[in-house]
Amino acid sequence: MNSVAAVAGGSTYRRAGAWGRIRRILRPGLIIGALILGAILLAALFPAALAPRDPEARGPAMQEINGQWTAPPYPPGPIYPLGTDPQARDLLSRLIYGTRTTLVIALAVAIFRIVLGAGLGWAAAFYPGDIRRNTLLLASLSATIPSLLFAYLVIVTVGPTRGPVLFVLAMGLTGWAPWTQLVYSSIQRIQAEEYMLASEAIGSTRWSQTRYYLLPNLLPTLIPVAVSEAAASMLLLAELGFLGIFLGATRLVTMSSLLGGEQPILKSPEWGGMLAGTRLEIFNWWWLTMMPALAFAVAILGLNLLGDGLREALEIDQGHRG
Amino acid sequence: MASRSDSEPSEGRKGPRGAAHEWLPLVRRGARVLLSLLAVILATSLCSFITINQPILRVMYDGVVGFVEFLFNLGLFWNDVAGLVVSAFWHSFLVVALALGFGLLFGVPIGFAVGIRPHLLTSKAMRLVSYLGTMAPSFLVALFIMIFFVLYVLPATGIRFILLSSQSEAFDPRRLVPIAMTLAVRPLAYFTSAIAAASRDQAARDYVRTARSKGLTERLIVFQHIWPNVWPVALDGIPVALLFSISALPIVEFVFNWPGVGQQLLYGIVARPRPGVPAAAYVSFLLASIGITYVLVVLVVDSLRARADPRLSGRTRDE
Repeated sequence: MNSVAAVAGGSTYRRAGAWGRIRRILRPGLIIGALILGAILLAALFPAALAPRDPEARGPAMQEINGQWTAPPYPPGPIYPLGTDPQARDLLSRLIYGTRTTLVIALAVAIFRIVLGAGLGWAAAFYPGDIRRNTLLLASLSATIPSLLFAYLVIVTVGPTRGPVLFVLAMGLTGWAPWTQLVYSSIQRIQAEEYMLASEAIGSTRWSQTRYYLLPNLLPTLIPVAVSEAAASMLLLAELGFLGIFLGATRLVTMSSLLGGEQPILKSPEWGGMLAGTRLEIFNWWWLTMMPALAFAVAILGLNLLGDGLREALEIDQGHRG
Repeated sequence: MASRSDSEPSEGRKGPRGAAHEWLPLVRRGARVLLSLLAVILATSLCSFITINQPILRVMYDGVVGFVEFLFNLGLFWNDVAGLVVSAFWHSFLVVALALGFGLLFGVPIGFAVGIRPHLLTSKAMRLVSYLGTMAPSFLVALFIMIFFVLYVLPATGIRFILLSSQSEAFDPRRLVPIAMTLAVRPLAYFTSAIAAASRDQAARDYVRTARSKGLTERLIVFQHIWPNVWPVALDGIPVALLFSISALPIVEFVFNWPGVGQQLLYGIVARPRPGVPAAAYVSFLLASIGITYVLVVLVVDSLRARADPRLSGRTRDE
């Protein structure tokens, strides 16, 4: 009887503990970030279900707005919530359909940087001597290269018409250095812990040390930074788009396209491409610039909030576990 | 029986297992040779794809020759672009210095006030604003400030703070204001957050508790005890804030059409600055000007930091 009561009490306690833990880690930033990311993922996965119109469908050549017949682009209103582009295509639908490409490129760049940086950090931690010295030197050198300028230089030189691989390489070949330093220092810190010494003493292999000790202690540090890395990649994509460099470009970057004199005709919607060539349009048709810019800003904010929220949640969780 | 099997391996036991034992090293060696062959074939094929009918070797040769020529004739190249580089550098230097000054002037006192009184509603609001400010994309801030100046400030004052498409190189100090404001957003947010965190940390220290228990006035505690331990954090933050501003330079100068280093770098990559001037030399000098400035600022901040904090200068003396 006593044992049954103890078990029941124990399970009740465990349930309350788990719920309490969830309530403790659920901060407003984490919730808002998760909601924004959820909305972005929904738009990326089911654009047809969410978009009010076909992104390529053109609206009427003239439309009556506030009692006046006007030509496209139409401003935001009841018919087009976010307005249209100069070809009278609905911006909301184009933003929803463009989410997938934008998110995939941003995630691919983030993953590339993480794999490259974390892999080198791993190598530096486990192979002392020349490999460590050269790897850390390479990371320090790479950290001094401005990501925007490097990506801009590579894509302009090779040609933005080359496709997604060029974008991922150009954006991912810089910006990985913080990962090398983070992974290297984290592994060094973990390796100095007593449980690692104990695992070595009982003859654990490197694989089992990695599986049972390193990864569980590394991931809480790395996951929040990985989410913030996706935000950084998205910001870079937005800045490149603003400079006229975007996925799906059909011509090379020229001085006149850079100065904002030409607006590209996009084959498929993508947020960066929607920003291209709109610098001077902001005073005539502000929605052409502001809608994709705000889409980028909301996505970046959501990812940053999620990353910081996860960091806080994991710190609280680890502190609770002692 | 055992001795027989150990000493003389019988024909029967040698059968398939013994044969495998003999063939295994051979198979392994063969596999290794095959793998090496495969690697050589793949490498050759890759080299063929990269080089045959592609101008890569010519490009590499031209690049290396151009670089060596640049190194040997550095003075001549500098004479060609000196005017352009110096002009771009001063344009950027002015806006970055103003932005940092703006960030320090407002961020440090605000952060200090927020850190000393962390539970006030205004402090919480300022913390949230500074948190959002550190995340704000520079191009979006630039767009908002551009709209504000063109649509509201220009009609109200009649002053053109922003020239959207003019290529005039005449220097107009009024144009500094919106650009410096945009570049100041992240340094301002950073200084506010860093100083607030440092103040909160210092205010919770034992020496502050001891001072309070001795009955010292709050003003004395804040300005004589906490402040001297907080303000060096602002010095430490200058290189970080400078990096924020430098990384935002290309996009902000592009938005405001400001002929600084950032904008000139973007243009220099697409086209020559003027006929006869090699773009690579121009871009190299521009990058070097920014790099040298950053290193000089870090050195100055380090020396000031050592003077500001007696513990650091003591440590240097001990070493």
